[in-house]
Amino acid sequence: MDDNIRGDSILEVRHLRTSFFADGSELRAVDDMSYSVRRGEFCAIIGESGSGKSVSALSVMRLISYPPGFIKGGEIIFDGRDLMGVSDKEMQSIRGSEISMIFQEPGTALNPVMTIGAQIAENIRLHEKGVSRAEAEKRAAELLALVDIPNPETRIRDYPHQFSGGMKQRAMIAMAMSCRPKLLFADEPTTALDVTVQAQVLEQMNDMRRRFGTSLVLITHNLGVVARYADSVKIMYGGRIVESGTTDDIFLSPAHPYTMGLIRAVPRLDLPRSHGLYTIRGEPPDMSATPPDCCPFYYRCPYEYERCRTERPADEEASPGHVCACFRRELAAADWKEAGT
Amino acid sequence: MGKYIVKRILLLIPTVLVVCVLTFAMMRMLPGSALDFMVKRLTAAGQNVDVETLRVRLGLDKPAVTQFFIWIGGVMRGDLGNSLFQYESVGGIIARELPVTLELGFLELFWTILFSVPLGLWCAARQDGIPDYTFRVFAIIFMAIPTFLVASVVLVYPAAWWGYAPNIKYAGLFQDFRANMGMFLVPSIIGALAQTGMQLRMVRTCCLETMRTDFVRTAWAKGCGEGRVLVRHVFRNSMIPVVTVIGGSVAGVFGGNVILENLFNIPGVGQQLITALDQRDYTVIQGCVLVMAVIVMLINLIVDICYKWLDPRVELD
Repeated sequence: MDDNIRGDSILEVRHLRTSFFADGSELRAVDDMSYSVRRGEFCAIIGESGSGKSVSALSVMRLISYPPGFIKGGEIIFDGRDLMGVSDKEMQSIRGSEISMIFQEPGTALNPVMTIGAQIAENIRLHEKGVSRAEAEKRAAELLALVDIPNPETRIRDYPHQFSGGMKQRAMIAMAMSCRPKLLFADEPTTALDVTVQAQVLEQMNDMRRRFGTSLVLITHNLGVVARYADSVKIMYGGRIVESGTTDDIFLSPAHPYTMGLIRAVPRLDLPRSHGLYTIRGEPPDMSATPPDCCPFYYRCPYEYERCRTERPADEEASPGHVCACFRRELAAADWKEAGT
Repeated sequence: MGKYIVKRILLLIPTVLVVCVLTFAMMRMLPGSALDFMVKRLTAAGQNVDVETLRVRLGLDKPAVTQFFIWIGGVMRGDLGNSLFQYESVGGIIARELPVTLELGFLELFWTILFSVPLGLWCAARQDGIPDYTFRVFAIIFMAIPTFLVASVVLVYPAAWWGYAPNIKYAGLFQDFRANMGMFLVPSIIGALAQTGMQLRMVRTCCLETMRTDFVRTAWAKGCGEGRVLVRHVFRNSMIPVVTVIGGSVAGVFGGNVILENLFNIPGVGQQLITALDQRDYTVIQGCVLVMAVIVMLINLIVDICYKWLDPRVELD
């Protein structure tokens, strides 16, 4: 546990629902999602592609463009305010200063025709009135130095294509942290990078988080990363959180069959190749076809029974702070313990 | 940069040579020579003509290849020869008439860019709104109606209804601005219509494409307002393909001016070219085509340099 964490929550999302409308059908990308992030916490949201992880983060920043997307309901309490109720103007001043975001593809997330320095300086000058261009560029160079970019004073005049992938992502971190945000979303920030650079970038992000006291929500499907850094973990499936708890809760005593499947599916280097890879059978749910009143995981779940198809499991505490939405969690947990994985 | 420009200009030389050979050859392949026209005209005027003397005087007695080398030798010394029908050097004609054509062409480009770029950006920003649909419909209409039709209608009806007609007496841009605009305003707008329609759709498409890119999402996430996102992040990135198309359309603009100059009686190279073609005035045709070709090539060079300025990823060499 990190001593950065203070008790109250910086972000509380309640019953968030975001849908996309296309060809007359509704795709429920985020479907009744609730979670909270405490101040200073390193929180991870894990899920497969299409489970609604990115959309949930974009929803909090109110960056879902309509059409086709639409936030249908819910509350997003950030630092005591409901973001669903603030004006567009106010939301604009929150984005980039109080809530920042880092994206998956550093190669395309930076404007190719603006220098790195100008892009960081833009973020600073958008939110701090009265900062001169020269001053903002100086601060941009300092930020680049913080993320270990060599010769930052000259590199701020470089364009993104003159940076390597890892450097671009570090510049993104510098930009996102330029106004010392209270909350940072990192949407698969290392997925597009070489394995050797991934650790560096994560380390940098974690370092910046501690330095500025920022809460970090890391969206990923890389369990190794999560186990190493995160304080708490939320498992997302079919647009909702199916299990959440501390990192130890999730990895040592998972309660949801989907979480167990994810952990089993991590390739292991210490087992012979004949062992084979574990896969969760079936395909991720099509959220425009799955009915709302069922467990979205039922048709892939080894513990599935009658009730899973007709009723949506409610959140229940497996242990204090460890919440799971599954009718069969006790059965699954007993099996897990017995298998001793 | 300087080295690049010099290199490109040197590369123009072979292209220009090819243009020279092609125009020269095509003119000689046309049925009916300058000589025939001149004999016909003089006979019609009731004069006795000695065809052979005339042939020698026009320099058409030598083999075509020799004629070509005589002409190209002159070109290399900067002498485009004399008109066969007018008592004037081709260089003089072009010096007098090229500014007229260039003014018309650049005015057309000016209107095109002035209207298509901001409107295209606006249409993209308000995609599928009423203005977007309206402008797109008009863009299609402008593209579909041939320039000569619009020009004819504008020449006929305002004259019949209000007694209005564009100036037909040329005045230099800096000598008499009002008279100059009285001549150029209407034809240049008509010439720009089709281009504007095409570029508006192009700008709109490019902007829409850029608006869906990751870095525009980053701009929103940084807290940029809509105006800033559009101007600072969408606009410049969208201009890269747009400049390509506008650059490519320059040749078309100057080609299309031949018709406009004739309809509006504008004393430009285009009108000169039509007359010269009728009479097979070889030297004038060759000279005009050569100069226009060089101008189009130079504009393409400028477009390429603009890329570098627009997109830092472009390496010129």
